[in-house]
Amino acid sequence: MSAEDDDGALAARIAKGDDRQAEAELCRRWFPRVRAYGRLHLGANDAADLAQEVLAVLIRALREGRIEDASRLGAYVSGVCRNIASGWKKGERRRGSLLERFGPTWLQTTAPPPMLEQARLVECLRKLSARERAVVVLTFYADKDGDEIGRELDMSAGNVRVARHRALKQLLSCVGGES
Amino acid sequence: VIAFERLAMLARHELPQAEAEEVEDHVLGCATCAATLERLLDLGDGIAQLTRAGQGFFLSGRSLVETLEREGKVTRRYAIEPGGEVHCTVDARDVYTRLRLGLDTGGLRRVDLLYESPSVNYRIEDLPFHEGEVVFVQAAEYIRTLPTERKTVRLVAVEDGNDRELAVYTLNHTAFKP
Repeated sequence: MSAEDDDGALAARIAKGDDRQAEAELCRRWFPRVRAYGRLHLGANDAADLAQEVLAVLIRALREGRIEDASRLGAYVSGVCRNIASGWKKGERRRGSLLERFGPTWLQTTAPPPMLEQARLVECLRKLSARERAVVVLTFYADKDGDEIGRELDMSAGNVRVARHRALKQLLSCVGGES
Repeated sequence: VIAFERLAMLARHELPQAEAEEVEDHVLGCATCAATLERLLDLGDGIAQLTRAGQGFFLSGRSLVETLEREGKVTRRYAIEPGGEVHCTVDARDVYTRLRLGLDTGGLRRVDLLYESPSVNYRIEDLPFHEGEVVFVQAAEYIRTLPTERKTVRLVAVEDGNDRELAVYTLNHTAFKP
Protein backbone atom coordinates (compact mmCIF):
# COMPACT_ATOMS: atom_id res chain seq x y z
CA MET A 1 0.00 0.00 0.00
CA SER A 2 1.27 3.47 -0.85
CA ALA A 3 2.06 5.72 2.10
CA GLU A 4 0.36 8.49 0.18
CA ASP A 5 -3.02 6.83 0.41
CA ASP A 6 -5.19 9.34 2.20
CA ASP A 7 -8.10 8.53 4.47
CA GLY A 8 -10.54 8.81 1.58
CA ALA A 9 -8.63 6.32 -0.54
CA LEU A 10 -8.39 3.92 2.39
CA ALA A 11 -12.09 4.32 3.09
CA ALA A 12 -12.88 3.56 -0.57
CA ARG A 13 -10.74 0.42 -0.48
CA ILE A 14 -12.47 -0.79 2.68
CA ALA A 15 -15.89 -0.13 1.15
CA LYS A 16 -14.99 -2.21 -1.92
CA GLY A 17 -14.44 -5.38 -0.01
CA ASP A 18 -12.20 -7.40 2.23
CA ASP A 19 -9.11 -5.18 2.59
CA ARG A 20 -7.62 -5.79 6.04
CA GLN A 21 -4.48 -3.86 5.18
CA ALA A 22 -6.47 -0.70 4.46
CA GLU A 23 -8.46 -1.20 7.66
CA ALA A 24 -5.29 -1.56 9.71
CA GLU A 25 -3.75 1.54 8.15
CA LEU A 26 -6.86 3.65 8.69
CA CYS A 27 -7.04 2.54 12.30
CA ARG A 28 -3.33 3.16 12.83
CA ARG A 29 -3.90 6.76 11.72
CA TRP A 30 -7.02 7.38 13.75
CA PHE A 31 -6.34 5.45 16.93
CA PRO A 32 -4.07 7.98 18.72
CA ARG A 33 -6.39 10.88 17.90
CA VAL A 34 -9.49 9.09 19.15
CA ARG A 35 -7.57 7.88 22.20
CA ALA A 36 -6.73 11.53 23.00
CA TYR A 37 -10.43 12.33 22.81
CA GLY A 38 -11.17 9.41 25.12
CA ARG A 39 -8.46 10.47 27.51
CA LEU A 40 -10.03 13.91 27.71
CA HIS A 41 -13.55 12.70 28.42
CA LEU A 42 -13.17 9.33 30.09
CA GLY A 43 -9.68 9.27 31.59
CA ALA A 44 -6.59 7.22 31.00
CA ASN A 45 -8.09 3.84 31.86
CA ASP A 46 -10.88 3.96 29.28
CA ALA A 47 -9.24 5.96 26.49
CA ALA A 48 -7.84 3.05 24.50
CA ASP A 49 -11.09 1.09 24.92
CA LEU A 50 -13.04 4.02 23.54
CA ALA A 51 -10.68 4.27 20.57
CA GLN A 52 -11.16 0.57 19.82
CA GLU A 53 -14.92 0.85 20.06
CA VAL A 54 -15.12 3.95 17.88
CA LEU A 55 -12.87 2.49 15.22
CA ALA A 56 -14.79 -0.77 15.22
CA VAL A 57 -17.94 1.23 14.50
CA LEU A 58 -16.13 3.16 11.77
CA ILE A 59 -14.79 0.05 10.05
CA ARG A 60 -18.21 -1.59 10.14
CA ALA A 61 -19.82 1.51 8.62
CA LEU A 62 -17.22 1.61 5.87
CA ARG A 63 -17.57 -2.10 5.12
CA GLU A 64 -21.30 -1.69 4.88
CA GLY A 65 -20.94 1.31 2.57
CA ARG A 66 -22.70 3.65 4.96
CA ILE A 67 -20.16 6.47 4.58
CA GLU A 68 -20.43 7.46 0.95
CA ASP A 69 -18.70 10.82 1.15
CA ALA A 70 -15.13 10.31 2.38
CA SER A 71 -14.84 14.01 3.19
CA ARG A 72 -17.37 13.35 5.97
CA LEU A 73 -15.13 10.77 7.67
CA GLY A 74 -13.95 13.26 10.31
CA ALA A 75 -17.45 14.38 11.14
CA TYR A 76 -18.58 10.75 11.33
CA VAL A 77 -15.78 9.81 13.75
CA SER A 78 -16.44 12.92 15.80
CA GLY A 79 -20.13 12.02 16.12
CA VAL A 80 -19.38 8.42 17.07
CA CYS A 81 -16.84 9.57 19.68
CA ARG A 82 -19.39 11.86 21.29
CA ASN A 83 -22.17 9.29 21.27
CA ILE A 84 -20.11 6.49 22.72
CA ALA A 85 -18.34 8.66 25.31
CA SER A 86 -21.66 10.13 26.37
CA GLY A 87 -23.17 6.66 26.72
CA TRP A 88 -20.24 5.36 28.71
CA LYS A 89 -20.44 8.33 31.05
CA LYS A 90 -24.04 7.31 31.72
CA GLY A 91 -22.96 3.75 32.36
CA GLU A 92 -24.22 2.34 29.06
CA ARG A 93 -21.21 0.29 28.15
CA ARG A 94 -21.44 -2.74 25.93
CA ARG A 95 -18.23 -4.24 24.73
CA GLY A 96 -17.26 -7.38 22.95
CA SER A 97 -19.19 -8.14 19.83
CA LEU A 98 -17.90 -5.33 17.65
CA LEU A 99 -14.34 -5.72 18.83
CA GLU A 100 -14.45 -9.48 18.34
CA ARG A 101 -15.48 -8.94 14.74
CA PHE A 102 -13.33 -5.96 13.85
CA GLY A 103 -10.63 -5.46 16.48
CA PRO A 104 -7.99 -8.16 16.21
CA THR A 105 -6.96 -7.25 12.68
CA TRP A 106 -5.61 -3.86 13.57
CA LEU A 107 -5.15 -3.76 17.34
CA GLN A 108 -1.49 -4.74 17.00
CA THR A 109 -0.83 -1.78 14.72
CA THR A 110 -1.52 0.85 17.37
CA ALA A 111 1.32 1.86 19.67
CA PRO A 112 0.57 2.76 23.30
CA PRO A 113 1.18 6.39 24.28
CA PRO A 114 4.69 7.16 25.56
CA MET A 115 5.00 6.92 29.33
CA LEU A 116 5.80 9.99 31.35
CA GLU A 117 8.86 9.33 33.47
CA GLN A 118 8.07 10.39 37.04
CA ALA A 119 11.63 11.04 38.14
CA ARG A 120 12.13 13.27 35.13
CA LEU A 121 8.93 15.15 35.92
CA VAL A 122 10.15 15.80 39.48
CA GLU A 123 13.34 17.33 38.08
CA CYS A 124 11.41 19.40 35.58
CA LEU A 125 9.05 20.74 38.25
CA ARG A 126 12.06 21.87 40.28
CA LYS A 127 13.16 24.05 37.38
CA LEU A 128 9.98 26.14 37.52
CA SER A 129 9.78 29.23 39.68
CA ALA A 130 7.90 28.76 42.95
CA ARG A 131 4.95 30.74 41.57
CA GLU A 132 4.75 28.73 38.34
CA ARG A 133 4.98 25.50 40.31
CA ALA A 134 2.22 26.70 42.62
CA VAL A 135 0.06 27.52 39.60
CA VAL A 136 0.40 24.08 38.00
CA VAL A 137 0.01 22.20 41.28
CA LEU A 138 -3.04 24.26 42.24
CA THR A 139 -4.43 23.53 38.78
CA PHE A 140 -3.87 19.81 38.58
CA TYR A 141 -3.67 18.68 42.19
CA ALA A 142 -6.02 21.10 43.94
CA ASP A 143 -8.23 21.38 40.82
CA LYS A 144 -8.53 25.17 41.08
CA ASP A 145 -9.54 27.37 38.18
CA GLY A 146 -7.81 30.54 37.02
CA ASP A 147 -9.95 32.87 39.11
CA GLU A 148 -9.36 30.91 42.32
CA ILE A 149 -5.63 30.70 41.70
CA GLY A 150 -5.54 34.39 40.86
CA ARG A 151 -7.15 35.27 44.18
CA GLU A 152 -4.75 32.98 46.01
CA LEU A 153 -1.61 34.27 44.36
CA ASP A 154 -2.69 37.88 43.87
CA MET A 155 -2.66 37.58 40.08
CA SER A 156 -5.30 38.28 37.44
CA ALA A 157 -6.97 35.21 35.89
CA GLY A 158 -5.34 36.16 32.59
CA ASN A 159 -1.91 36.24 34.16
CA VAL A 160 -2.58 32.89 35.79
CA ARG A 161 -3.38 31.42 32.35
CA VAL A 162 -0.24 32.93 30.84
CA ALA A 163 1.90 31.61 33.70
CA ARG A 164 0.25 28.19 33.44
CA HIS A 165 0.74 27.94 29.67
CA ARG A 166 4.35 29.03 29.97
CA ALA A 167 4.99 26.50 32.75
CA LEU A 168 3.25 23.70 30.85
CA LYS A 169 5.26 24.42 27.71
CA GLN A 170 8.44 24.40 29.74
CA LEU A 171 7.46 21.14 31.42
CA LEU A 172 6.51 19.45 28.15
CA SER A 173 9.77 20.49 26.60
CA CYS A 174 11.68 19.35 29.69
CA VAL A 175 10.05 15.91 29.89
CA GLY A 176 10.52 15.46 26.16
CA GLY A 177 7.01 15.96 24.87
CA GLU A 178 5.61 18.11 22.14
CA SER A 179 4.71 21.75 22.71
CA VAL B 1 -1.76 22.92 14.39
CA ILE B 2 -3.94 24.64 16.95
CA ALA B 3 -2.67 27.16 19.54
CA PHE B 4 -1.16 25.51 22.60
CA GLU B 5 -3.21 27.74 24.89
CA ARG B 6 -6.47 26.40 23.46
CA LEU B 7 -5.30 22.82 23.90
CA ALA B 8 -4.35 23.56 27.51
CA MET B 9 -7.78 25.07 28.12
CA LEU B 10 -9.44 22.09 26.46
CA ALA B 11 -7.44 19.75 28.69
CA ARG B 12 -8.78 21.63 31.72
CA HIS B 13 -12.37 21.71 30.36
CA GLU B 14 -12.24 25.50 30.48
CA LEU B 15 -13.56 26.25 26.99
CA PRO B 16 -17.23 27.03 26.33
CA GLN B 17 -18.94 23.94 24.89
CA ALA B 18 -19.14 25.12 21.28
CA GLU B 19 -15.49 26.13 21.27
CA ALA B 20 -14.48 22.91 23.03
CA GLU B 21 -16.23 20.86 20.33
CA GLU B 22 -14.50 22.87 17.63
CA VAL B 23 -11.08 22.20 19.20
CA GLU B 24 -11.96 18.51 19.73
CA ASP B 25 -12.86 18.19 16.05
CA HIS B 26 -9.53 19.73 15.17
CA VAL B 27 -7.71 17.31 17.49
CA LEU B 28 -9.47 14.36 15.87
CA GLY B 29 -7.98 15.47 12.56
CA CYS B 30 -4.53 16.48 13.78
CA ALA B 31 -2.08 13.83 14.98
CA THR B 32 0.34 16.44 16.38
CA CYS B 33 -2.39 18.17 18.37
CA ALA B 34 -3.73 14.84 19.66
CA ALA B 35 -0.25 13.89 20.85
CA THR B 36 0.20 17.25 22.59
CA LEU B 37 -3.21 16.94 24.23
CA GLU B 38 -2.34 13.48 25.54
CA ARG B 39 0.98 14.76 26.87
CA LEU B 40 -0.80 17.63 28.60
CA LEU B 41 -3.26 15.23 30.20
CA ASP B 42 -0.36 12.96 31.22
CA LEU B 43 1.41 15.93 32.70
CA GLY B 44 -1.64 16.95 34.72
CA ASP B 45 -2.10 13.43 36.07
CA GLY B 46 1.61 13.16 36.78
CA ILE B 47 1.71 16.44 38.72
CA ALA B 48 -1.28 15.39 40.82
CA GLN B 49 0.20 11.95 41.51
CA LEU B 50 3.60 13.34 42.48
CA THR B 51 2.07 15.90 44.80
CA ARG B 52 -0.17 13.28 46.40
CA ALA B 53 2.81 10.95 46.82
CA GLY B 54 4.79 13.62 48.70
CA GLN B 55 7.29 14.29 45.94
CA GLY B 56 6.39 17.94 45.44
CA PHE B 57 9.87 19.03 46.65
CA PHE B 58 8.90 22.61 47.49
CA LEU B 59 5.34 23.89 47.20
CA SER B 60 4.34 27.35 48.30
CA GLY B 61 1.23 29.41 48.81
CA ARG B 62 -1.36 29.40 51.58
CA SER B 63 -4.15 27.73 49.64
CA LEU B 64 -1.97 24.93 48.34
CA VAL B 65 -0.52 24.29 51.77
CA GLU B 66 -4.02 24.31 53.27
CA THR B 67 -5.19 21.81 50.65
CA LEU B 68 -2.31 19.53 51.59
CA GLU B 69 -3.17 20.04 55.27
CA ARG B 70 -6.80 19.03 54.68
CA GLU B 71 -5.69 15.88 52.93
CA GLY B 72 -3.42 14.92 55.80
CA LYS B 73 -0.23 15.34 53.81
CA VAL B 74 1.35 17.90 56.13
CA THR B 75 2.81 15.93 59.02
CA ARG B 76 5.21 18.42 60.62
CA ARG B 77 5.03 22.18 61.10
CA TYR B 78 7.47 24.93 62.01
CA ALA B 79 7.05 28.69 62.26
CA ILE B 80 9.84 31.25 62.50
CA GLU B 81 9.84 35.00 62.80
CA PRO B 82 12.53 37.15 61.18
CA GLY B 83 15.90 36.60 62.88
CA GLY B 84 14.58 33.54 64.67
CA GLU B 85 15.65 29.95 64.61
CA VAL B 86 14.13 26.55 65.11
CA HIS B 87 15.27 22.99 65.76
CA CYS B 88 13.86 20.67 63.16
CA THR B 89 14.02 17.10 61.96
CA VAL B 90 12.06 14.53 60.00
CA ASP B 91 11.04 10.91 60.46
CA ALA B 92 10.00 8.00 58.31
CA ARG B 93 6.26 8.78 58.48
CA ASP B 94 6.49 12.38 57.35
CA VAL B 95 5.10 13.39 53.97
CA TYR B 96 5.47 17.17 53.86
CA THR B 97 6.92 19.58 56.39
CA ARG B 98 5.31 23.01 56.59
CA LEU B 99 7.38 26.09 57.23
CA ARG B 100 5.83 29.46 57.94
CA LEU B 101 8.16 32.43 57.76
CA GLY B 102 6.83 35.63 59.30
CA LEU B 103 7.56 38.62 57.06
CA ASP B 104 6.48 42.20 56.60
CA THR B 105 5.23 41.83 53.04
CA GLY B 106 3.98 45.41 52.60
CA GLY B 107 4.93 46.89 49.24
CA LEU B 108 6.72 43.78 48.00
CA ARG B 109 6.40 42.68 44.37
CA ARG B 110 8.67 39.65 44.20
CA VAL B 111 10.26 37.56 46.93
CA ASP B 112 13.00 34.97 46.37
CA LEU B 113 14.32 32.47 48.89
CA LEU B 114 18.00 31.71 49.29
CA TYR B 115 18.73 28.44 51.05
CA GLU B 116 22.26 28.17 52.34
CA SER B 117 23.92 25.29 54.20
CA PRO B 118 27.29 23.52 54.20
CA SER B 119 25.82 20.71 52.08
CA VAL B 120 23.60 22.52 49.61
CA ASN B 121 22.71 25.99 48.38
CA TYR B 122 19.86 26.90 46.12
CA ARG B 123 17.59 29.73 45.19
CA ILE B 124 13.83 29.52 44.81
CA GLU B 125 12.47 32.30 42.69
CA ASP B 126 9.22 34.22 42.95
CA LEU B 127 7.53 32.75 46.02
CA PRO B 128 3.86 33.46 46.49
CA PHE B 129 3.47 35.48 49.67
CA HIS B 130 0.58 36.68 51.80
CA GLU B 131 0.08 39.41 54.34
CA GLY B 132 2.59 38.83 57.08
CA GLU B 133 3.95 35.51 55.88
CA VAL B 134 5.54 33.22 53.37
CA VAL B 135 4.35 29.65 53.75
CA PHE B 136 5.54 26.54 52.01
CA VAL B 137 6.00 22.80 52.37
CA GLN B 138 9.01 20.69 51.59
CA ALA B 139 8.84 17.03 50.72
CA ALA B 140 9.97 14.87 53.62
CA GLU B 141 11.48 12.50 51.08
CA TYR B 142 13.93 15.28 50.24
CA ILE B 143 14.48 16.40 53.85
CA ARG B 144 15.36 12.82 54.82
CA THR B 145 18.45 13.08 52.59
CA LEU B 146 19.85 16.11 54.43
CA PRO B 147 22.65 15.84 57.02
CA THR B 148 22.65 17.34 60.49
CA GLU B 149 23.62 20.95 59.94
CA ARG B 150 22.72 24.55 60.47
CA LYS B 151 20.87 26.07 57.53
CA THR B 152 20.07 29.62 56.73
CA VAL B 153 16.98 30.72 54.85
CA ARG B 154 17.19 34.24 53.51
CA LEU B 155 14.23 36.04 51.95
CA VAL B 156 15.10 38.79 49.52
CA ALA B 157 13.04 41.29 47.57
CA VAL B 158 14.03 41.41 43.92
CA GLU B 159 13.98 45.02 42.78
CA ASP B 160 15.32 46.16 39.42
CA GLY B 161 17.29 42.93 39.17
CA ASN B 162 18.97 43.39 42.56
CA ASP B 163 18.41 41.55 45.83
CA ARG B 164 17.38 43.43 48.96
CA GLU B 165 17.53 41.30 52.08
CA LEU B 166 14.24 41.16 53.95
CA ALA B 167 14.82 38.62 56.71
CA VAL B 168 17.00 35.72 57.78
CA TYR B 169 15.84 32.52 59.50
CA THR B 170 17.91 29.68 60.92
CA LEU B 171 17.06 26.00 60.84
CA ASN B 172 19.05 23.69 63.10
CA HIS B 173 18.37 20.43 61.33
CA THR B 174 18.92 17.00 62.84
CA ALA B 175 19.35 14.33 60.19
CA PHE B 176 16.84 11.51 59.73
CA LYS B 177 17.87 8.31 61.51
CA PRO B 178 16.33 5.26 59.83
